[in-house]
Amino acid sequence: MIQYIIQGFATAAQPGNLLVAFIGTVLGIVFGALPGLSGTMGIAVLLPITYSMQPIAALLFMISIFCGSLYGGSISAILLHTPGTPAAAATIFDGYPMTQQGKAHIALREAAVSSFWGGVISVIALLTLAPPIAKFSLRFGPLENFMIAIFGLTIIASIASNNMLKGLLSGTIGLLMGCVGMDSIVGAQRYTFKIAYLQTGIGLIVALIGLFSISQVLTLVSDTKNAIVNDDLIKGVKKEKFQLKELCLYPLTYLRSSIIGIIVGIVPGAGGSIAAFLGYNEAKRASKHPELFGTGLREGVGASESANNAVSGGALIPMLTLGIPGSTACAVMLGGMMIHGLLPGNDLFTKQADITYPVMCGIFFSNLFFLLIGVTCAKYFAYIARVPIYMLAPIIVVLCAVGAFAINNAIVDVYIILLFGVIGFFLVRFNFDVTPMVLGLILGPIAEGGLARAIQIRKGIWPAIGGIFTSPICLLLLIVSVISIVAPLYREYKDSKKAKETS
Amino acid sequence: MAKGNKIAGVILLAIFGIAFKMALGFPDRAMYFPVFVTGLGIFLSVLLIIDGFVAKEDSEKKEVLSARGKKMVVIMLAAMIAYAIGMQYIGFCVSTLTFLVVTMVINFPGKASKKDIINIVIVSVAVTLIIYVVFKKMLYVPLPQGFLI
Repeated sequence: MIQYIIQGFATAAQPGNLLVAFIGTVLGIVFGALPGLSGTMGIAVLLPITYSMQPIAALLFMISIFCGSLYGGSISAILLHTPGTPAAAATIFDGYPMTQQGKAHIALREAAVSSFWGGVISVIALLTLAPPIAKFSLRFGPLENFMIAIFGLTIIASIASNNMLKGLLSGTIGLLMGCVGMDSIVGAQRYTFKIAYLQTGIGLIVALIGLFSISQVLTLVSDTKNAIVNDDLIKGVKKEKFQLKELCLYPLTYLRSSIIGIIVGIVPGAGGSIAAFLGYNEAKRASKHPELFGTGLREGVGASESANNAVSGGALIPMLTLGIPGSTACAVMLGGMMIHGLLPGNDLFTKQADITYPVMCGIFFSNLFFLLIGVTCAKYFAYIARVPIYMLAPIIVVLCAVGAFAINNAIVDVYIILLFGVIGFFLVRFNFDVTPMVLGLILGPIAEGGLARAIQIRKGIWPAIGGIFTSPICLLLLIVSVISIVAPLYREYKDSKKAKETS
Repeated sequence: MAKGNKIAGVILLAIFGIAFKMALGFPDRAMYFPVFVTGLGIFLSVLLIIDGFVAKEDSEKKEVLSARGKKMVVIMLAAMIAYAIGMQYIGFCVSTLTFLVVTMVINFPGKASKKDIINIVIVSVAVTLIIYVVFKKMLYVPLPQGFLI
């Protein structure tokens, strides 16, 4: 494995790959810094650029956008009091007060440095944890795959805990969409309405572009309030020489937050915002001066930023090893990987190690790039937030249309993204979360395929279900699945009981 | 949102109901999963409708779309459909340029001055050219072709 890692770093450090990582990081920061846009949208919109690239460069480009966007969100959070991405929401607590105190330059540096550490620690976790998990996944038969998918789906309950019913419904819609097309077992046509296009099912990338990008464009144009940019705050960012000691002022906080970020990243659908809030709260709890958090404390920025950036490596672990995307950005990357003929699993770490390791090692360079950008010219990215929505929204539509068309060279995909855009827009208007739907769309066919093969092998549905209780892996996954459904329900019950007691 | 929950619940109930009926007509082994999924969908939709009747009106706050917001969504959607049709029959460059200029002018907050419109045209031409050159000429990404470019 060490040999793979050394070779991976050597390949990632080739000028062409470094350039791709740099461009991806810069574009990611732009998408992250722009309030209303996100890394997921950035990857979806810029995906067609990768079609003609070699797999290493293509994956590196997507992952660099992902990493750059996680950091980029902090710039507008600190300077504009508007998180560029939801993951940067916790950065506002101390970042914006620092700006008000004339210490924006320090906050921006801290965001870059802590994001860097979060990213680097998560790369280490990715490089050490992913290969053994992938190897372990070789023991998975159809039933285990079924249970892995079920576990992924039960996560919906926890991510949608603010409205579990709508989260579950959103997931069920995703599962239904996953049923569209020719069934893999007997080749029956399901919900195709005799339309040839639907025989192969709903394209993941096309659905994601529609659900995340087009629906967001509709939300942007419907919201007449645009971000108000205070130029004076941006201009007021002081220039002060960066000191080397600033590179690691709070090692314990970085480490704690990063571990939280990695764990949250591994949980499908949990995402950077949860990681950042947890990282921030834990740093506050561990601090000798918790009362100073929220008043413009440098450590507060570090705690949330290292946590939300550590999500990058964590989220890639289940995606690369088991095909379960740890976040929506990973779901888009998963689709992008498949376009390049790469399938999650052990092969990625053995037969295709010459592709996977350079990409994983390349994350380190992406983190290095945003560190350099962050300590030198972060404030200029805040100016990007001034790009008016009336210009931005149509340009995004054009990029989405190009991306959708280029997948199959078919204009019908452009209509499909519009359809999904409308679906996504209305779901969000009705307070539905789109993430469970994506999980359903990806995991539904895996669950069905696994169960169908298990039924075939064990000659019947009951022997197959019985098999879940005799396989230790399945049993463990079943227990974890039950916990992931019961835990948020229990938490909700406890919270409501507490609320009743206090009232 | 209670009213919204009722509306969403009824729409979803109709969709899952139709899908359930269709699933019953699938061959034996291809029907298990869709029947389970649509059955679950029906159950959850009914719960959502009940929730709509039981929940308090202000249990979930969601900003109501302004009249301008609603109008913009409809116009943007119509423009996007026209853009897709234009790409197919006229060609990528011409339809993209037209789409960008028209939607930027329509989305402009307030009334666009002559200077604003010149800016919009410059940005639209630049964006169209950059996308065409970068995607088609440099990255060899296929772009739709009509009877014009």
